[in-house]
Amino acid sequence: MGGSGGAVGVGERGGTPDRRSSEGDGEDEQQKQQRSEIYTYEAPWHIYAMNWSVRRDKKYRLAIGSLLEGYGNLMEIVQLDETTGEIRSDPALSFEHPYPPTKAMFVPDRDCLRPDILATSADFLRIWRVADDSSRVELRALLNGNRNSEFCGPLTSFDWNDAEPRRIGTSSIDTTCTVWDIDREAVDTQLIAHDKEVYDIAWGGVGVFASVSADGSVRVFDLRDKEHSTIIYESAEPPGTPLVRLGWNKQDPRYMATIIMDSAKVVVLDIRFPTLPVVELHRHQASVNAIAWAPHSSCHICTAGDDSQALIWDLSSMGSDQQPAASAAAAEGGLDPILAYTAGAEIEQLQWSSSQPDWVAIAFSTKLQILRV
Amino acid sequence: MAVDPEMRDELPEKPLRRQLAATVRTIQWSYAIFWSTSARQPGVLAWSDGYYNGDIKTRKTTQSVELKADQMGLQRSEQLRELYESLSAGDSNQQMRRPCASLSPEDLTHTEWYYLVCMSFTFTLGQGLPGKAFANNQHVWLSNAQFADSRIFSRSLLAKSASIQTVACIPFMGGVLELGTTESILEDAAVVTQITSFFWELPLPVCSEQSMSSPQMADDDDDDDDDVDDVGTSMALEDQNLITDHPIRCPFALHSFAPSEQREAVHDKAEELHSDHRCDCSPGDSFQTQQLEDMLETEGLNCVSQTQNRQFGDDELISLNSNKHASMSVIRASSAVGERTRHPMLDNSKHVLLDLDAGDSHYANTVATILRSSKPVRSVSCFLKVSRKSNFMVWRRGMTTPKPFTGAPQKLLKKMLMDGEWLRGGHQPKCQEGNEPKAWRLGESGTGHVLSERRSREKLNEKFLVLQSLIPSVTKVDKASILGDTIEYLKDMERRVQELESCRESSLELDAKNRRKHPDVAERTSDNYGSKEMMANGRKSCSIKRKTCDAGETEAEHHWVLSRDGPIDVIVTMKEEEVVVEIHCPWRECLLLEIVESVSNFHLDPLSVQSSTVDGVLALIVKSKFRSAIVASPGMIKRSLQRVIGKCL
Repeated sequence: MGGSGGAVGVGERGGTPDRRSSEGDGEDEQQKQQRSEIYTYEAPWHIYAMNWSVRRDKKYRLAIGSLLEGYGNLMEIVQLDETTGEIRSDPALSFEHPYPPTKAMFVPDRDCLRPDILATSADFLRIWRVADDSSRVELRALLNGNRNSEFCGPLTSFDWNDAEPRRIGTSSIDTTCTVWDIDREAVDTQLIAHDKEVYDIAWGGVGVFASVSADGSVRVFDLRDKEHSTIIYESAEPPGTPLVRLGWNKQDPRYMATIIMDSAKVVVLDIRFPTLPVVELHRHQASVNAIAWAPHSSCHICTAGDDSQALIWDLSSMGSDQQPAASAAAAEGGLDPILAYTAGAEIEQLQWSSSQPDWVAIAFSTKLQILRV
Repeated sequence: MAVDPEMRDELPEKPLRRQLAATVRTIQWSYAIFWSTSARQPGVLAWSDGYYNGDIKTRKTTQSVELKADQMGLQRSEQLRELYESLSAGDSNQQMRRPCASLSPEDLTHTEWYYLVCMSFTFTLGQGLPGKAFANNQHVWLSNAQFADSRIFSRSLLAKSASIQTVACIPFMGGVLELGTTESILEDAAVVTQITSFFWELPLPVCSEQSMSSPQMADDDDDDDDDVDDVGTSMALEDQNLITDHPIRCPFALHSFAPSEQREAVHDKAEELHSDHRCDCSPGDSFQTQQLEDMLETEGLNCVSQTQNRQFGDDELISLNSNKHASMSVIRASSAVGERTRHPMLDNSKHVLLDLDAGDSHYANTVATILRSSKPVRSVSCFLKVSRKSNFMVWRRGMTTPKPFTGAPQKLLKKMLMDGEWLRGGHQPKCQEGNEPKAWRLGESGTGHVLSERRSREKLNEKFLVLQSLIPSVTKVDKASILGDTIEYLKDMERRVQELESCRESSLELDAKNRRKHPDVAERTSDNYGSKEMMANGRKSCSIKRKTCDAGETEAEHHWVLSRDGPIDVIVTMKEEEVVVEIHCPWRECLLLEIVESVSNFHLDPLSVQSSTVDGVLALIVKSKFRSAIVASPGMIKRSLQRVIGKCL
């Protein structure tokens, strides 16, 4: 790496004079942040499931789900009104949802070739359709993969395959992962993925997905060879610590990131080098809750956690020369993030918009905020 | 095509460029290039003219006069051509001699760079997209150009960094007309027709002559008009991003930011380029950003748009630098020229380059030539550090959160994943009536192996409970300590047994004959021992029973051992291989079975069993033989039998 690494910079320049003279303590930065426009939406309940709309014709639209105990939960579809600069919820597009949704996702269809649908997971996978005139949201399909009708375990997560939008993979606490064909509304495959509950699943391409589990392993599955899976990482301190979240870099499918239970570090993995993390991101001051890879850049990732911070990291230096880079980074005390945002409370959910790549959305307590990167 | 080559050659360049301009602007694509057969190299298609209609980062103009959009575009294309010429001349000094308003490489976006590099390309018949179109005299449409095989589309790598997604090559007028765009557009013959018809329709004197000279096109004119309109409208609707294209971008340079201020901003940004991170930030996305900004602008958020110009500039500047980096790594890969570190994330591209055949080394060579003269540029993170618009701030070491987090880590996350009961708020889901949440949490499911696992787990738990009740010293309930205590107890017992065996065996041999007459001293000792054990349990009934026993003494009184429920007499005799066990004890259910089981535990094979139950007293004689070489001492057998018998239900 030529040139001077390290410190960023002639930092604040231009703009208002106050910034230059400030000492840069937390409060001042908070004020600085507030000066830039932030769009916030306050829901009547704690938000957990949240995601961006992908369709080209519906920008700045998100779906949010409540986190209320029991059966009666709600979902709302909110949108930024660019004229007023406010995020508003359309009451016609609020609907009831049984049990708190563990995840929500809009169909990854930027070109509007498919109907306007979104999926949620809770006790089952449900597909909802937003009416073309945006007058209501109705349930289009309830997908129950359990042949044995006695059982219905909660789905911990799911992922929509970008390359084949008719495929959705779900993960469940019954140790299985199910791949659905939502056009036929039928199960494509059901695999016993792990020895324990599966907590997250992510597609890496057509027919390839990975999952993380309470057994502490990240496994990659290829639908062409369902008998075998590859373990590309196992948690080590102590062994068998559950891994709770997984993100696969859609821009560069060699890389994925995972969150360890109760841990403030995020582990970045390379599927070509199993068991050896590419880098571990240590800068959170409390446990991490969510990760999101940049949809337009192969080397940026955003992480958020209980320290109320959302950090953006640049991983471009952690490239091919693995060993030297890793040890160099370790020598410096680890890789530093490049950008940070401090929210008002622990950030529970983070999603990076794939259709508007300079926006990320975070959810903390009852608030949704969309931030410009 | 009815135009003869001579006519084409006579066409002055500018009108061609205007035609290209109008065409590409109408269909709102990013660039148009006309390849024609080179005069210098026969049979080879080379750059003839082009018009760039894509993203622009910095506009360098000397005049402050408001120009129309098409004029701006033409000027830009001219500037790009000038830049190319100066670079390919390879003279580093040339830059100083050029007017200050001329472009330098860092001013370009990815797409502009792509356009510029295209100027250096030549295609033989059948080579590359233009060559193929020319050879077959048929249009070639390439979607997902950035992923195309470099054998088909030699500039695919460049296209990738420029985010050019669609390229169409149409043989035309003795050459090939190439258009490309950063949007992904599916092949559409109507567009091809539209493009070609546009060339004939342009309201330029030269063009109209052309249209008259091509009779076949004239007939189609009317039809094309309608088609064109329809296609035009539909395209406009399809790509709403591009609606606010030129009219708004035009005043970009003439915004409240004076051009000089902009340039200053650009230079200041250049100062900040010193970190070595690189990103794949593509202008396609800044393009979209621009669209958003334009939209917001038109909606009236003027205060916002001002800063956006600067931000836009930053994005492009930065993304260009990364493009430079890309190009530089190309050099390194192919010709070992270049001083920059190879960018690691470009591994993929590196592999692609290594697979290049001779045709594509042209690209590497071109870039090498061009870049040799330009000053090295360091790449920077593609994210803004400064713009007022970004909500994020530069991360600094020692940046602490407002209040340190003290609560339960990942509380909500864990609730969502693990605490099914909480999720269901104590309600059973409709399909799972009667099942306990605990079972759910254990991961019960309809799949067979999990059920059987659960059963075996339950069995294990049961056995642990039994063990817990057997071992007196077990205090804790967890499995590890149960097992630990059991092990301790066993060791203890074995030790004791060994001690007693050694003295028991010696006394046994002595008293073998005298058993009837004299009760085994050892036996009594052990009986007493046994009774002590029993009495240690503190049952009141013991004392009462004893009295009763005493009352009913018989000859064999001293044999009897007092127990909770009555006297117990156990006699174990060993004669060579045969062991005789004689028991008198109060009867209770399953006692017989337990005794026999206990006997067999010592590897004794019961040969005959005589038993009778009279007045609640079981009299039992068991004759057995040692099954294996393992020999248990009578003392051990007796003690265990006593325990079995004395065990309260």
